[in-house]
Amino acid sequence: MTAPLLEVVDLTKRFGGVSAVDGVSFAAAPQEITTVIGPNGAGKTTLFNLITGFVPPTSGDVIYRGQRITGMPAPQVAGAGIIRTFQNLIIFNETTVVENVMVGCHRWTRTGFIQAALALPAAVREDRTVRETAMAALALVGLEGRAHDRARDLPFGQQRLLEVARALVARPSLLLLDEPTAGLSAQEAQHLVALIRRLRAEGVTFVVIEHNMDVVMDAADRVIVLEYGEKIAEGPPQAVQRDPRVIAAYLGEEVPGP
Amino acid sequence: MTRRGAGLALLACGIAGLPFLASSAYLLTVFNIIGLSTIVTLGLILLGSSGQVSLGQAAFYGLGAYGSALLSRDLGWSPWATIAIATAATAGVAYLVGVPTLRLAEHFFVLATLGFGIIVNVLMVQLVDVTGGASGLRDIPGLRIAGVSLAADRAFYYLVWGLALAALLLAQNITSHRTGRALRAILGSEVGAAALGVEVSRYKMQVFVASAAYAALAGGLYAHYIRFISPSPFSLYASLFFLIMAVVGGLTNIWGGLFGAALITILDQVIRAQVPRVFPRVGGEYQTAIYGILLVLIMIFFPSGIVRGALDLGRLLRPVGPEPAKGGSA
Repeated sequence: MTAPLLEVVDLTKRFGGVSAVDGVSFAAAPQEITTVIGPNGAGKTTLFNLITGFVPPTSGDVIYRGQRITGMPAPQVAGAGIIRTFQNLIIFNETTVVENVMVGCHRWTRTGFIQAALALPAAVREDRTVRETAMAALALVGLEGRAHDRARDLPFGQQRLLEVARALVARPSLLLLDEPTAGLSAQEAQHLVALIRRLRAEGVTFVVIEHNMDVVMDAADRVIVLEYGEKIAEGPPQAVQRDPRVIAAYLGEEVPGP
Repeated sequence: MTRRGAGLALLACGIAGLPFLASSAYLLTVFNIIGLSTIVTLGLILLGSSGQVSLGQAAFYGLGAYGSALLSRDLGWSPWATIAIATAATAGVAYLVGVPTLRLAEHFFVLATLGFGIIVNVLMVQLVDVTGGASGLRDIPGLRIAGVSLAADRAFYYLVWGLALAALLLAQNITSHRTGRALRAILGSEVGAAALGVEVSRYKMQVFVASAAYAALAGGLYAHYIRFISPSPFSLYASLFFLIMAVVGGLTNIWGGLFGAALITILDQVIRAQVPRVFPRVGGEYQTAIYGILLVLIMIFFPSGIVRGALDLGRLLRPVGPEPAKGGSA
């Protein structure tokens, strides 16, 4: 078995007396699609915040490419190739759609303050590459026609796709998507799943929080189920779907004995 | 890109020709003050492009002025060198101010800069042995190029506007490349920017230091132009003045910096000349009231500045627009 790209070891986050994430461990192998499911408030987004350095864990470790990155500041985590999207969308509202995506290229571009101020040839060249990359990504999610509109004027579903395009141009090794199909039409969701598969083939590893079970069944290699911050099940989608604890978690019932 | 270049060339021609149309010493002095204010305002607008506001720019302006004045007057160094040194040193001061304050939430950062500005101004008044106290510093050497004095209003005009245009060009370059996108991303959402690898605190620091350097450069030029400095032009009131210029221009709009500086300087001159005629018995506080009202009106009706506001208005009034009017241009 290949070494995992991401390992989460006994990760715990307590807010006051509440454990938002409680001793969660899992590993994601390269090019694997892991989905995280669970009822609202199960700690899925907190798990993402812990992995990406937005919230420091109370205990436990995050290991990426064999290196401990626990507690590393968010920009450095992103710099290392772990890119995320947000459940509630974070769009740079006042700028254009294409500029939003261009910011995604920040990680692998190099123009600094002085080079920019002097508009050195390298800065101008880099800018052209960035713009082309952004336009190509917009075409990939079907937004090329809206490139020059103001981002805030896009409907919710298109903003969701914009965020995905922005994450793609960052050329991530590990992409964490927080409910990427929420607000998308069935057709758009299907399109997105196809895109995720294609990127996986190109070498990207995914961890996806998802509520849409069709998408989960369709796309996931492995499913992790959280409830009250704890991992209650893990396995291939079909197996997890039949797991009585999972059924109980979703239906809120006692698990009947076997 | 080319349109922007054409605009800049047109502006340069206009600026070069202006002294031939309006050549009175008074007008040239006003233009020179506008040029200096433009440089300070451009720094504020760079800062504003990342969503930050400073009420301490007059302190940086003053540090540039006092630093350069003292070094050139008491050590006999060339004013060119001392302007550069004072600008660099002020940038260093801004870095030290930024370390503890830039991590604060926006409005607390504004208060911190305000406090810093007050401290610097008090020091200018109180450190009498160094600064000359309230009576200020006299006999500051003027600027010379190859033995030729630039003290005359017209010669200084070309110097200050040359530098103002350079400052404008640099600011425009910064905002139109990777750095500018990162700054605007920070303005949009610090969390969103950080998630894409933008080192938010580093960028905020860089742009704060740059804004201080802009102010200090203008301050150094001012000291060697007027050749006398005292604490009053570097007070909190002056910081507020610069901020109004930036807000009038549109806090994130580079061209607005020029416009805001010009409009407010001219308005200031008009108010100073006309208010005593209309209200013979009132004092200077009426000026402050007028600026206060102006600022409130602009924030209500043109939250993205007069330039952008006028453009939006023009688009709304045009009968056949390329797109339907959209609600809320904030």
